[in-house]
This record gives sequence, C-alpha cells and structure tokens, in this order.
Amino acid sequence: MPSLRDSGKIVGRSASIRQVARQCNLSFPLSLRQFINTPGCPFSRCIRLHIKVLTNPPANNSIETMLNRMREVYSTAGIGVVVASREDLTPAVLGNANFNTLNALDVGQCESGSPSNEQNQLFQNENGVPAGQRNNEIVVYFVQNVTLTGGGQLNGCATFPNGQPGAVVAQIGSPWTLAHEVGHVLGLDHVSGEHEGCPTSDPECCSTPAVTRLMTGCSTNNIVGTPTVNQTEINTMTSNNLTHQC
Amino acid sequence: MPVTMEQVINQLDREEPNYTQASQLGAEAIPYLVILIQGEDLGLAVKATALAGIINAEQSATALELAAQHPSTVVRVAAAATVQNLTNIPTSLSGKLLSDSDAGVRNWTLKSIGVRQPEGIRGRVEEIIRNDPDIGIRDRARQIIEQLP
Repeated sequence: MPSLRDSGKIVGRSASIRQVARQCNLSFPLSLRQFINTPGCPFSRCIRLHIKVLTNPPANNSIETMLNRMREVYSTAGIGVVVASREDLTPAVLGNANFNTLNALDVGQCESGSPSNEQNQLFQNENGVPAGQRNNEIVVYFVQNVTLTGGGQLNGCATFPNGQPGAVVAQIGSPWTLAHEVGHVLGLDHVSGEHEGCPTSDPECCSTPAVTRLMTGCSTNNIVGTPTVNQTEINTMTSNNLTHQC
Repeated sequence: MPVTMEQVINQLDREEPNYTQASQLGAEAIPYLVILIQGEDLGLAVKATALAGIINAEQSATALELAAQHPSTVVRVAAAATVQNLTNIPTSLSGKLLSDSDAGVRNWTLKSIGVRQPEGIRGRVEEIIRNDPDIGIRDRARQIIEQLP
C-alpha cells in the first residue's frame, strides 16, 4: 500500500482526508487503508510513477515540490498521480557505482523514438515496477544533467526506449518540469502560438510565451499560477494507455 | 543589429533550447553568456555555457575556462560537454576538466576529446586509464587513446 503522500489522493495544501472522503461519498469512521484503497476516489483516472533519484534537485525545487505542482495541474485534468515506488540511486547510497556517468546523461538528440545508448542503459533500471507492467507505468529518473550529444543542455527529456515509458529531469528543471515531461510521455506536444510575429531569421523566438500553459515550449520556469491543460490535451492524456482507472 | 542580453535570454530560457538557432547570435553573444555563467540563475548558467561552446568563437574558450571553475557541478558538466564544439581545445582547459572531481565532468571531457582529438592531452588520458577510480571512465579513455596524436 502506498503512503498517503504517495497515493496522490490529497492535492493542494488546504484539502484534508475528510474533505476528499466526503467528495467520494465515503462514510465515517474510515480507516486510512480503506481511504487509500478506495478505487476512483477522488480521481477516476490515474498514472503511476516510479521515481529514481540519481541526483536530488536543489532544496528550493525538491522532488516533493515537483510532485505537488504536478498533482495540482493533473488534478485539473481529473488525473491522479500515484507514486508507486521510489529508489535512491545517489552516490551517497550506492558509492562509486555505474550511475556516476549516467548522472550526466547523454540523451542523443532527445528525439521521440530514438533514445541514446545511455538512456537505454539507464532505463534498464526498473526496480519496483510490477512484473508485466513496465509498458503501463512511468519511470522518472532525476539526474544531474540532461545533455544533447552535441553539448546542449535541457531541463528534461521525454524520449524513452520502446516499451519502457519514462522521462529524465535535470537538476536545472523548474517546479513544473516533471509535469511537463510526463505530459510529453502521455502524448502532449508544446502548445502553438508562442512564436507570433517572429522574424524569419528566428522563427521560433518566444515572442508570445504561453506562461499559463503546462506545455509551453518557452520556459516552464516562467509559468504563472497553476498552468492549464486544455480539453484536447486532457483527452490525449486520459486516452493514453499509461492512464489507468484508479 | 547588435545582440542584446534580452535576445540571449530569450533563446536560452526555454525547456529545450534550439542551440543551432541560438548559435546564430554569434560571437557578440559571448560577453552576455559570460555574465550568465557567473550569474545566480543556475539554469541560465548551464545553458549559457553550452551555447558559448556551440558558438565556437575566439572568446568561447575563455567563457568555458570560467565555467570549468564553477562551483556547481552541473555547470562544469556543461563545459565538458560543449568543449567538443571548439575547433581548438586549449590543453589547459581539457586538462582542468579531466582533473575534475566529478565523474560526469571527466566522462564528458573524454567524449569531447574523442570528437576533436586535440594535441597535448594524450599523456593525461593515459594517466586516466591507469588511475581513474571509475571503471566506465577508464574504459572510455581506452576507447579514445588510439585516436589521439
């Protein structure tokens, strides 16, 4: 049984178990186990994440912060975010092991369907994913750097080996990068309309950034408030086979 | 039209910057990139480091020397990964990066050296084959040693 925190049932600072249980028409007295194991409460659809930590993000943008931000925006799409497992792969735990070099991950061109050798190697680590479920659950690796083969640096990358859905998030990621990259894994593209009036010499300039949208391609670092996903994006997310009945 | 800091930040402050497009800012962007490398925003410092190498201008090596001394490992990894874009990698720069305490920095430096095969670094790579504590890095050094002059 996941912890209450990882069950993803409580979203936002103000919600309590009592409030959420009432929404689900659960009657009291109610055990924590019963609450956590009640299907469809409060979300009918869920995704299951497995968190692998090669490098902890900075304290002001911790994994818990990113998960909370993700739950905020995914709850607006009616999707719960369950953390099914966590694994610490930091040098402090593993010592001078193989993950040292994968921590500065080479993601090739970060093109969908073309994972790099290092991504293939990293994604082989799927401890905690139930047997036979790898194609239905998402593994997210928190690494130090996400680096293009040519030397460019990214906040994250959602390219994954066939049948091993997941993403990597760099230490420089924003509080919304986890939600954004998992959005890509669920089939979302960057929003359009962020490049209005850009010169032909720089057609992808961020002249009109969509700072209220999760899938902005400009910078999730500049997002204002809780970003939105529109109905088309929600349909894409909920119809993806990685989104299950809770 | 002269390059501005706003243009530089506009290119870099993205989830996945288009570095090919950003490199068209050219050598005029380097002084701004140096400021960003030394600035407080780590995300911009990392991406500015990457772009400084990709621009491959005369002052790029100076910018990467700064990045190679950065207290944050993520910036030093960025320097090691982008040094491959310099036509001439200064021996002092590659030597410094190969001596870094972080395995990711050393690994990316070896990859970059494999791309450019600069002179004057073979001895240091041989030393890594003999002494590096990370087996993966020793293996990578073995892979590139024969390509080095």
